Amino acid sequence: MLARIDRQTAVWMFLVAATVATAVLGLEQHGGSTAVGLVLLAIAFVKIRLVALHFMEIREAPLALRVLVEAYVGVTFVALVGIYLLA
Amino acid sequence: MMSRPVQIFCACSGFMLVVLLFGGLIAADWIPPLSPAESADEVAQRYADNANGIRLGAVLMLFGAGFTVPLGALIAAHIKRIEGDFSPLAYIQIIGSAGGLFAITLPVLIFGAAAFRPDRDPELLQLMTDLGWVPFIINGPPAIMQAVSFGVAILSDKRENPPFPRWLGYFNFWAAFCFLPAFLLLFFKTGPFAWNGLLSFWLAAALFGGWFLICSVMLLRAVPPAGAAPEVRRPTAVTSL
Amino acid sequence: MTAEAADLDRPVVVPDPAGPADGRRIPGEEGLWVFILGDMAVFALFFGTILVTRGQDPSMFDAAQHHLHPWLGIVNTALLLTGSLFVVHGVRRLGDGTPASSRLFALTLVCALGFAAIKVTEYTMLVGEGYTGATNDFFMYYFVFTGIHLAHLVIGTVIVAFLVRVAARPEPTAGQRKFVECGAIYWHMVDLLWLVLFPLLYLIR
Repeated sequence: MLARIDRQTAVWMFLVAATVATAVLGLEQHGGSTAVGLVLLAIAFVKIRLVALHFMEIREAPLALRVLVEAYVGVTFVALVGIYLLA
Repeated sequence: MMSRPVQIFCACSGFMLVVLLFGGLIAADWIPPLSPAESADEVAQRYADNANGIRLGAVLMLFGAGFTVPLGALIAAHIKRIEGDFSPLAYIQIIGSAGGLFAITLPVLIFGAAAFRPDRDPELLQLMTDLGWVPFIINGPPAIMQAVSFGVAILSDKRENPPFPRWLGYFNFWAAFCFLPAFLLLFFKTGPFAWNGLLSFWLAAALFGGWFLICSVMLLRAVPPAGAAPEVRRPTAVTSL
Repeated sequence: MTAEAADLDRPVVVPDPAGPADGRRIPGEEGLWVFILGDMAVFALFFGTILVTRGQDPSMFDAAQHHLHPWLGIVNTALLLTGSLFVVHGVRRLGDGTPASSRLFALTLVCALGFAAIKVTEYTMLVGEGYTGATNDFFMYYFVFTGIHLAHLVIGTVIVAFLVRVAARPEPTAGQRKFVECGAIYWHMVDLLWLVLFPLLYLIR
């Protein structure tokens, strides 16, 4: 059974599971917790990286494009964390 | 019969527009732009302090507005080559370019009139400033028309050696998208959507100026080398959907 | 690895025999990424704006967030993700001689319409409860940014409708195949942007 699940379907299953996890985590938090906020932000960026790599096929792309996409994910995440913690 | 000097002049118009438009804004001390949240007295003070700068700026921007036309005309000529005889996209480009001329000229004329008699009632000066800045920033449709018609034409070009790379088509679509936030400026006196805000002004200005600069460069590169044979005109844009 | 498993893991992007030896290929086409990365960059500005606004008045922001309907947002996330899965398989099966590809894109269309319906329902509920874009800064950004995202989704719906049509042909040309790949990447971008927008607006306190 496992052998029949291709890579992208497996990624999808992970993404759906991560969505449910963030939902539970996000909605069960009592009051505003910075730690939870950071975890939710991190999970979001893990998810978009997976969408880019496996659905948009950046995994198969030339290095330059891959670097640009990874840079976007990394820089945006760091910038948002910075604003979230400092603003 | 294509004239190389004419094409080169038209292509360079984009550079001229950017220099004159942004030079004019700098002369008026409007980089960064004044805020819609400023009081009438604060606005009046600007005119009192810098009437000649604003007058000069208005004149520079007026000339800059003129340069939008040759650039748009050259783009339209290229689009017409792509479309052939039946060329709605080329006409959209032409009309959009005329709209662009208006979109800059109208506000600039009002700025000039405001700076003409800076000792007016501050409320009146604020009214004229609003009359200028609101259309100056919100009037996106002409630029969107130019960008979208050019982008569509580039991506439908099926010739063997198209003069424009496909990324330029996609860039046009991105530029058009970046002109959209400004439509919300009427609802805000502060924040990113206000006429001096990050999205309505800075993003839009960067892409507006960027669009003219990039189009100028790419149109220059599309000018045929001296002595090249004139291209056989063949309507080849056929979408196969 | 058996032939069957290898086939399942075959990358959707077919390596170009005339391309570089390492088999790497730009998905869609090179120029498309100017638009995709550009659009993502503009949305990054939106994301930053949301967090800056939050920082300026965290208690207002937090109180406003409680009026949203997060479970609708979660269903919407699942719809976009599932739409992406259908798109991936639709591209993979393009031109294989069966109606599968076209049907998969049609299923994506269902996901897109579902998302739009839920979004409109959410808006209607919020306005009915008295929260509009004029209520406070949080709601202003909520309506504007989800609205811009929704507009992207509507364009994506039109594009996917074209994909349904193109995929119904028995033998798509190279140009049509490229169009389908580009349309697919656009859809994934709409999904990707929501994956960040959703927690920022609905979950992060």
